[in-house]
Amino acid sequence: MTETSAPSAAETAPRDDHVVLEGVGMTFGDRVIFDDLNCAFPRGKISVVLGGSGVGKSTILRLIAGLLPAEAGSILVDGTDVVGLSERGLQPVRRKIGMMFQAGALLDSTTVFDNLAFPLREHTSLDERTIATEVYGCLMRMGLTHAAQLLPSELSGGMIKRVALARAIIAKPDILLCDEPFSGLDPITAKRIELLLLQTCHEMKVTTIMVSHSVGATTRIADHLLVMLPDGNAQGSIEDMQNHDDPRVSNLLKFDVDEQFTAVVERLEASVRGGGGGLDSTWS
Amino acid sequence: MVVRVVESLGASTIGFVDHLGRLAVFAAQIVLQALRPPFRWKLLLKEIHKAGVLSLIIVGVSALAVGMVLGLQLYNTLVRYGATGALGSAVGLSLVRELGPVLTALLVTGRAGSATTAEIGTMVATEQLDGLRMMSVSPIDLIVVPRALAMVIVMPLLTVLFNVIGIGGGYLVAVGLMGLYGGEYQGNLEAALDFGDDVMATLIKSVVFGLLVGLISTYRGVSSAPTSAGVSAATTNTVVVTSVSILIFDFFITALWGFTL
Repeated sequence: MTETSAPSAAETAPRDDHVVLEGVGMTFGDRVIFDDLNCAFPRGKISVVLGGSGVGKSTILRLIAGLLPAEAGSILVDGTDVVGLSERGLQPVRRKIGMMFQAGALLDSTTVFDNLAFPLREHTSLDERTIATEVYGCLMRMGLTHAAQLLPSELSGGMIKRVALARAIIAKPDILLCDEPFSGLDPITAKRIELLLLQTCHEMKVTTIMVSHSVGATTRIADHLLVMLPDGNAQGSIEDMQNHDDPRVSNLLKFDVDEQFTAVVERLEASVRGGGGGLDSTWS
Repeated sequence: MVVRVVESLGASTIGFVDHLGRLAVFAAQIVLQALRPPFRWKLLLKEIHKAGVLSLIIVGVSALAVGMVLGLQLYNTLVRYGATGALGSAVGLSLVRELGPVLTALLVTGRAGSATTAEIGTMVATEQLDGLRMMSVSPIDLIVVPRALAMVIVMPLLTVLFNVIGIGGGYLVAVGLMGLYGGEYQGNLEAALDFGDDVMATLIKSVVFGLLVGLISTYRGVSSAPTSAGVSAATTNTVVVTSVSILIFDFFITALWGFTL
């Protein structure tokens, strides 16, 4: 995969990159996902990966986490190349990473409390009292103290996302990977997750790499963008991308499905309350 | 047409050998992980409860039924030759040497083996195993080892239970239904059964079968496709492959045991 334009001023300035992918190649069977992917994610910033379905956005997160093996190139995570590392070799790298999976990936046979306590019990020597304090502190931040003893199957979609975020950050990682944190949520819950992510990332100064389809949320919270296209990618700040030479990149950031959806709902409600108009006029 | 058949046969053979290789690597990973701390005793006990205690009813009821049927069938045969006194030894030897370990293993495969594959397969489909990897916890350590070890531990115990209840079922038919003398049934059984030969054979078979169920059910779970159809196929595959493996291994153990004694 190649860059679609020359690097901007922001890209050429010296930058402390926390995660760097160089010349990464990846295939699924006969299908080439990445041929020569090059991108970098700055330390302590929120980076968002945008792009259409099937371009390999979630695959980037899995490559960084070592959940998928790259077939070529290097992936530097805090200076360590994860390509070719064994599962055992990956463990020290993964301790620096928290990952929020799209569907939560919570352990379904244990309670919310135990899901959050699990990484602390595994990798720290904290006593149960301290672990409980940490877990309830994290749950309080997420507004979920009442759900501590519930099983994942008893949670709503928004609650699962919040528990997944809580579990991803409870061990205080340096890098946070979020796979579609706003997908499948109503606009209010999505906004709540957005605020929680923003607050968490800024308070913990964690390098955040997020895959998202939500252009609205992206423009509000991202410091750095990677826009993936079928024939290349572009990266830089929001301003860089909004003024990008490639109209596919600049236009993408003007198209906010969430805002359009909200506008349609408001017009529909007004139409119903006023007794006039109809769906045809609302959707026109 | 012929080329296609040969190609298909070749592909199946390569796939089979590939699976065998992966299974061998997986088994080695389980052994290495089982010997390496942390030792998860609580999880092991929980899995022993799930695979063993929860299988007690099906194993007990099946053993009673098999023992009673065996008692009836053998009585009907032995009575023609006036040898009903040998019923105890006939029932006991049939159960201890063959039916006990094989039927117990097949029952545990159907109940606990399939459940293990379905449970692990669902964890794969819902990314729970990836979630564990991201928390620097090996799924082999946390998920696979306790389940596989539990199978090896519970299988001999359930087999012994099956044998005892089966012999009891035969006793019920012989004494309660057919009016044989209880002391004769017991005495004949005691004289026929040899600990070093028969009882050890049943224990060795049950341990091997436990290894097979534990290994295949966890392997198929971990390697299942992350879809509902994938989990379903893996579960079916576990029952089929394990059942056939048990019967094949039973033949070889019996043959080897016979030659070595």
